[in-house]
Amino acid sequence: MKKTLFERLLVIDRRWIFLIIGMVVIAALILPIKLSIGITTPVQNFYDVIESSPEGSVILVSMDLGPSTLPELEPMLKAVVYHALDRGLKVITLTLLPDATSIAERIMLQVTDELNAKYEAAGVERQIRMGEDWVYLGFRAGGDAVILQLGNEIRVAFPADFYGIYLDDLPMMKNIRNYADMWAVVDVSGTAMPEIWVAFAGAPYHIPILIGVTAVSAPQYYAYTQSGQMAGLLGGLKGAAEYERLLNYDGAANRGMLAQQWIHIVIVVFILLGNIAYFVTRGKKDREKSATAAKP
Amino acid sequence: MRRQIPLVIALVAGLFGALSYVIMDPVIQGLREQMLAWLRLLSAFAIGLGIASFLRNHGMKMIRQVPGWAFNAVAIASFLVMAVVGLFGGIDEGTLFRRLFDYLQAPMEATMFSLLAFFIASAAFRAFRARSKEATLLLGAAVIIMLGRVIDVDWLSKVTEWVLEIPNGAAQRGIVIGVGLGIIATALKIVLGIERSYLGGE
Repeated sequence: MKKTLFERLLVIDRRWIFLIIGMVVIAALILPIKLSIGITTPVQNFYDVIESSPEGSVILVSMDLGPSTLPELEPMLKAVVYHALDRGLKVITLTLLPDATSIAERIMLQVTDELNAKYEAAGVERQIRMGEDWVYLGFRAGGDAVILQLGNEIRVAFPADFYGIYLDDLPMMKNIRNYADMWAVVDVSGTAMPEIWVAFAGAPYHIPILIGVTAVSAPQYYAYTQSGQMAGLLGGLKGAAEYERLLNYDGAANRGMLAQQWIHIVIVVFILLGNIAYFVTRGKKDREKSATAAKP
Repeated sequence: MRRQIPLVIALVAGLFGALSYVIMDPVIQGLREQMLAWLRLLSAFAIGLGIASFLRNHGMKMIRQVPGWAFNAVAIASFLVMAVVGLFGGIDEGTLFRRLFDYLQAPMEATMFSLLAFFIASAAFRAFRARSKEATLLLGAAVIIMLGRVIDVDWLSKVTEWVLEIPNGAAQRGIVIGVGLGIIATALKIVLGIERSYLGGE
């Protein structure tokens, strides 16, 4: 018996779906279309904490991401570090994941070069310098133990930075010993680290915790933002794009969001088509069954 | 005796860890710092254990030449290359290690993760059916969130934020509280020696 369109749709080779997705992503990345992005409350709160900090305040940025989550988390990290350094904040960077050791350094160096190029182009006499405006402490094993030790004395966990320079020899670190000397902690993570930062830094030391996570993880942290345990939340590429929009920063997130927008719409269309095909074919099967049952 | 000593260590360490959180005596806090330093050392050793397990797992498959053993050989070879290159050439900006990581490993891992998008699209088309009231509710919420996160329409954004903050927030809160209580119960059982599975053996 000849299959109807909907019956053929239900058993379609999934490679056609893969092809459609691939073509939509390529088209979205190639076409020069600008996207309108609304700003959500958790992202606005995140931005406001950094924006309201006095010049010279210190923030700790923990970059706990691996290569697999780079496309989602790197844009938000760059935007946050860019914002902080541009506002004149001092940034202490570290990582609690071995995968992120070189990623974190690369991000700091890239943002530094970007800002210095911007200042030079604008004729501003200002330079972002490692040791004066930011330090990179590198990786330490121990997760929660490291977080707890930072509450007492940073030099116990990190006697020297990633390049082997003792913290006491870095101009920026002279008066910074623990969380009491910091304005906020930012954790960008593709793992469950944000909860550990809340439990071992935010709760005992009362320091605002700002987090950036993948879109898949973001919904589970809304309870924390509502209770005030997390002062701000960036969720996935959308959160990064919102932050870039607030900063008026032309980053990768805004460019990637167009692809994400089209893909979401395509997936919703697939879901609706699949359900329509399902109900139409089910209705047809039910009618056929009734007709067969009614025959003598 | 062999089982008693670890139980006593667990009891003392667990009680001390909890009490040192609230007792601000300088001696107690000093001991706490020592304990945290030991914790960091143990974590570093865990990385070493992971490496040993990785090498043993892939090595055994390679020696036994199980089907697909060539991939196990590639895994071990990749590990050795990165280890040797990193140890002898350094891991700073511009080194071979950094180039291998930035231009091989990172893009490959990101690509593997990105493949999920294709499988999700296929799964959404094939399996996301409104077969029951609950499935219909889930479907509706998924469609709202998926569109609300990418389309900047005022009412849609408000509905999306409401779904994330109210029903989702409530459910997540319940889960977090449940998980927290479970963690407390399990930790108490381990500290008090009721839970002994970590000792291994019978």
